[in-house]
Amino acid sequence: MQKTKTIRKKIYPYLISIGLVFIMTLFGEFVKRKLEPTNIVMFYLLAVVIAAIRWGQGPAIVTSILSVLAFDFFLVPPYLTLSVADLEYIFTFIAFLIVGVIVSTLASKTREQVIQRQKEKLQTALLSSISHDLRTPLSSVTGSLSVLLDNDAGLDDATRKELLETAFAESDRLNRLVGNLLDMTRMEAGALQINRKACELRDVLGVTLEQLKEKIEARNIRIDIPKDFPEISMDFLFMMKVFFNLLDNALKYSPVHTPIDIKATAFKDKVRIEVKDQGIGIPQGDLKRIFEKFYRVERPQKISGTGLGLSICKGIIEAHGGQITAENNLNRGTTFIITIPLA
Amino acid sequence: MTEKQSLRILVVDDEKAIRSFLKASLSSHGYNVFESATAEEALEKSVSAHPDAIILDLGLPDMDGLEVTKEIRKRSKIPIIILSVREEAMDKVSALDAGADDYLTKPFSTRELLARLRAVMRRLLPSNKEEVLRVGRISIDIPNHQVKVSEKEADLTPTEYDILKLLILSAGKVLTHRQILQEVWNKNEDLEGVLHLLRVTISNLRGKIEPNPDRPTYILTEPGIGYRLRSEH
Repeated sequence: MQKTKTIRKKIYPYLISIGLVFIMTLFGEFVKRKLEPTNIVMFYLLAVVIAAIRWGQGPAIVTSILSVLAFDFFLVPPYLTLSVADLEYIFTFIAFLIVGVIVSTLASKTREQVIQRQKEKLQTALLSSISHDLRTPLSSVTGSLSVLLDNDAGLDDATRKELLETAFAESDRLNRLVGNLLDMTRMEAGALQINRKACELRDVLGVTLEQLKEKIEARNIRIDIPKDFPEISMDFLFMMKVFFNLLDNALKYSPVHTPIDIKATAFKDKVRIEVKDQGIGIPQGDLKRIFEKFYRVERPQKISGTGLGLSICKGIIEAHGGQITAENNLNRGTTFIITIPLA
Repeated sequence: MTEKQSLRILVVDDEKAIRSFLKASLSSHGYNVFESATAEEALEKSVSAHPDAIILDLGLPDMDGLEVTKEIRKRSKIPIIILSVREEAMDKVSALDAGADDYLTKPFSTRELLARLRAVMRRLLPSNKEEVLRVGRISIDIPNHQVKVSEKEADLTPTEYDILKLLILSAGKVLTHRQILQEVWNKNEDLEGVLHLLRVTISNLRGKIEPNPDRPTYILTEPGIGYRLRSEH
């Protein structure tokens, strides 16, 4: 699926370029009685420039060559043959090709510069987003501790405890964020080392739930794994991160009284694991984009997060040769579906 | 209590901030704390200061903590707890295999560290084989080979009993797959199928002693490393 998509993306500019040459030729047919053929060449040059700016050098050069051929075949007498009556046209062809190549090089360079600039802009945006995310918990820690340092005598025990708890919770959040950023960086660099070993899903979930102990105390988490569910070859620690993120989201975006369901099903060649909440759901148009890094659904109520969790989940699941998708439930809430091939 | 007050802990970390908060926390719990910032100093003090336990960072400036562990193990069985930012299972397993008693990843809470410290120190007490050991709602009567869960007798297979006994005898301390397989089956973990056997046995054991086997609170999995029996409930 992904592959055919990228191939189509690559072929598409070339097809359009051929179309452009075709249009210019039709136009040339229309005006060839009124205009000198050497003037009609200018229209082809326009096609080359368009191709170069939109799709880069490759399609532009193809356009140049096709233009010369079409021009010769249809618009230079004798018509409908590649031979030419007037040898002067040979110079026109050569000049056109040279100009075509130069123009396409220049135009595609401009295009690359534009892309580069967009990339830099994106990187700056990422950096400022990251530093903002890092500074937020850090300032809570520094803030709480500085209050304690400055006026220790004037604080009652309850306030002091509250400040300390804030500092502790926020430093924990900071630690998790740094871990996420590290995973993200490793993933981007292709350095994510997945160490697959047979493990029990029940055990992976058990450890994950233990990590989330405080957050799930008041929640009803229902686990449905068949007795004969097979052991899966996967990276225990990374799969914990996946379930941690999915459960953390489910807890964050659903009311306390609603249950969260984890359901596993085994097929002949794969397993399917669902994490289902009855929370606020995800706008239909965002169901795919939530897996992009730093993407966050815009919501009126501010729920803190960095937009890293799900993209890390996706990276981990894909490194296992599997897939992760999200869909909204018929009544309410969201279900995340993971499939992992067996062996 | 009087014994605890005399316990001597050697803290080895090149970060002064870490050493000072460990010193503050350990001292307030009655431990006598010594510090080293380098491996060389640590090796020297591990003899001269007569510590009862060592808390050791892996990333030391002059020598890796792993080497320090091996060096100390050549001549002493003193409990060693590793403190490190390295969180890969591989790093933990190699430190434990080199002879460390437990492993904590930075950042850590001092409460967790104190619990681990108590667990490894317990190992030093003379173990009385003629007794009934208790952890939470589980009790194991070693002379009579009897296990009770909430005062009701639990029907364990001999292998399940051996694993539970091993875990309870080192309650609070991590046991690697290798250690358990060696003790219980006398087999090496590289042997095909033995890890599967261990996982199945643990899963069955959990079914018999855990209040909710889907969320174990007694036999905890240490991902990629082994198991630990939670000693403090």
